[in-house]
Amino acid sequence: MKKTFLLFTFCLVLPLFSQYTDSSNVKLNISMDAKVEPASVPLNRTMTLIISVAWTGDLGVIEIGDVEMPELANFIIVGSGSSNRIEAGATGQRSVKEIRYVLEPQTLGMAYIEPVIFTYIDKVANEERQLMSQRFSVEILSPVAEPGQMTLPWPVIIFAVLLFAAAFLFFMRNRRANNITDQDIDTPIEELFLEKLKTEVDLKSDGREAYTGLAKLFRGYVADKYDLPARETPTENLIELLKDTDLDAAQHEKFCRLLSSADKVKFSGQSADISELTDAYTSFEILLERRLADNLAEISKPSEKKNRFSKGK
Amino acid sequence: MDQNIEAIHAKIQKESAFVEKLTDEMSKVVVGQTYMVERLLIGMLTGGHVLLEGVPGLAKTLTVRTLSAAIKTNFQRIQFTPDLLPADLLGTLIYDQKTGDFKTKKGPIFSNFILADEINRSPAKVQSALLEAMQERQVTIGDTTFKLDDPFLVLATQNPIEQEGTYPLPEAQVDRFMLKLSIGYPTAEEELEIMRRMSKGPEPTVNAIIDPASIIKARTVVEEIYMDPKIEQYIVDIVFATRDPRKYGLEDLADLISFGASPRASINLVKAARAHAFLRHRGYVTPEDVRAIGMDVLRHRILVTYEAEAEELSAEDVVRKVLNQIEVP
Repeated sequence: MKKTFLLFTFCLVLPLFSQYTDSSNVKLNISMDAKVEPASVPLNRTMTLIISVAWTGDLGVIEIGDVEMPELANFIIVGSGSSNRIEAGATGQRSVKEIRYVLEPQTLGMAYIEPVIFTYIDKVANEERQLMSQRFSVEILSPVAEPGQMTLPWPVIIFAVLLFAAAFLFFMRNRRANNITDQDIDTPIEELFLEKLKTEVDLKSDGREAYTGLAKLFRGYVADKYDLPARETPTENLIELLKDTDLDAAQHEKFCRLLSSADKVKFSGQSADISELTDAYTSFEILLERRLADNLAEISKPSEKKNRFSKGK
Repeated sequence: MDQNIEAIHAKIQKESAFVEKLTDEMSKVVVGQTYMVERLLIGMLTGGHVLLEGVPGLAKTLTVRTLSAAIKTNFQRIQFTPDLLPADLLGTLIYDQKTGDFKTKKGPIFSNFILADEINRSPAKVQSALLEAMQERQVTIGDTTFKLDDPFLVLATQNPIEQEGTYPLPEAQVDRFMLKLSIGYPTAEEELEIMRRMSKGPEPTVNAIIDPASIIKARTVVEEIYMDPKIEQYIVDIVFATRDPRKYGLEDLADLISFGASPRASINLVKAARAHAFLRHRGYVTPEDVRAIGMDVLRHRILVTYEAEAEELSAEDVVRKVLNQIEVP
C-alpha cells in the first residue's frame, strides 16, 4: 500500500518538473474539499473518503508534500488512489488533485475519520503551507443482504416456526383446561363433595381410616365453600373460624364434634366409635344434600340463572 | 393398643393434676404472662433450656423466682456483665492455708433454676462455659467433675433493644436453647392488676406445690405420651419446609431462608409438643400442640437471607408462613 502511494507521489511530482513554467505572477487561490460517500454505511459495504485540492493555474504552481494517511477509528483502509486534472473555466485554468481512500467498517456503531493534513509548497510565495480537512463521523449500519442471499438465516426461520407451534399448542391446551374449569365451576361444589363422600369414605372399612377421610373431606368442603384455610388450621382454631360461617348452632355443634372426635381417633390411637362415625357421616351428607337441593331450586329460577354455583358464600 | 392408650391417658390425667394448682399459685404473684409460665413449665418438663427475649420490667425474673418457689427448688440469678469470668459462674479451687489443700468452691450454676440475666452482656468465654454446662449437665473444676442438680433449668434473658456493648450469642449456641420466647407487654387489664397488686403491701408468699422428685417423675410420664406417626410426619414436613420450601409449595420463601431448622429442631418439637399435650391433660399429641410451640422452637433456628432482611421479614414471619401453609394431618 505504502509503495503504491509513493509511486503515485513520484508519478505526480515527475511531470511537475517537466511541465514547470514560470507562474510567479499568478495568484494561487487554493482550496481543499473533503467528503465521504455515502454518509452512513452498512457493515458489509465500503465507503470512500474523497479529498480534493483545487488551485488556480497549472499543476506545477505548487509542490505537493506529504499527504498524511487519515487517522481512523472503526475503519480500515482497503484501497486508495489519486488523480490530477486541469479544468478550463471562465476564470481561467484550474488544477485539481483528488485523493480517494476506500474504507471498510469494522463493527456496528459509529466510526470516525480524523482531519487529514495536506502539505504543499506555494512556489509563487515560496512558502510551505498546510490545508486541513474536517473530522467526519459515520454511522455503521447493520449488514445488508447480499444479492441472492436470504434476509433471515435458516436457524432463525426454524426457531420462529417452532416458537409459533409451541405457542399454538400452549393456547390450545389452555383453552381445553379452561373448558374443564368452566365445567367444574358449573358443577355445584356440594355435588362434587357428595360424590367424593360416597367414593372416598367407606364406613365398613377401618374406623380410623374412615374418620380421617371424613374429616379431610369436611375440611376440604369448608376451605372451598367459605374460602377458609381449613386444611392448614388445627381443629381448635378451625372451630373458632366455623363460628363466622352460615352454619346454624346445631350444625356447628355437630361438625365441631366431628372434628374433635376425628382428632381423637386419628391421633390418640384409640379405635373409632362406629355409631358416632355414622352419625357424623350422615350429618355431613344431609348438609350437602340440602344445600344441593337449595342450589338446584335456585338455578331453576329463570331470572337468576347464572353464577349460582360459584364457590364461596 | 387401646388399653395402653387408656392407661397413658389416665396416668397423664393423674400426673398433670398439679399444673393448675401450680399456675394458680404462681398467679398470686405473677399477673398474666400465661404464655411465659406455660413455656417455662414445658422447659421444666422436658429438661430443655429457655431463652427469654423481652424489654426490661416484664416480670421475667419474678416469674422464674416464683416458679422456683412453687416447685421448692433452688434458684440462682446471675447477672451477666462484661467482666464476668467462667470461674465466677462454675466455681473454682481455693487454697486452704490451714490444711494446705485446695478446696472446691462451687459456683452459682449448682442450682436447680438458673436465671442468666442479660446473657449477651458477657464475653464469649463465659457464654460458652454456661452453654457447655447446659449441654453436658456437668461441670469440671480442677480435676473433679461434678454433676449438676436435677432438675436443672437455665433461663437466659436477652434485651432486644440494646445492642451496644453486647456479645450476641452465635447461632450455633442459640440452637442449644430448646425454646426462645418473645415476651410481650401485658394487656391493659393485666397492667391495672399489676399496678394495684404491686403498689401496696408485701409480696404474697408462694407455697410449694410440688417437689423436684415429682417433676422428674412427670418427665418420664411426658415421654410416654402417644405421638401418632401422622403427627411425626407433620413435624418432619414443617422442619423440611424450612429447608426446602419449594417442595412444599412455598416458592416465595425459597429466597428468604438462608439456613433451615436443624434436626435438633425436630427433636425439640417432639418433646415440646408432648409437654404441651401434658399441660392440656391429654395422653396424645395433636397438631394444635405442634402449632402452639412451633414458633418458640423454630424462631431461633432459622436464618433469613439478606433479601428477607431487605424486605423487613424476620425468621418469625418465615415460621408463621410455614405453619400456616403446611396441611395438618
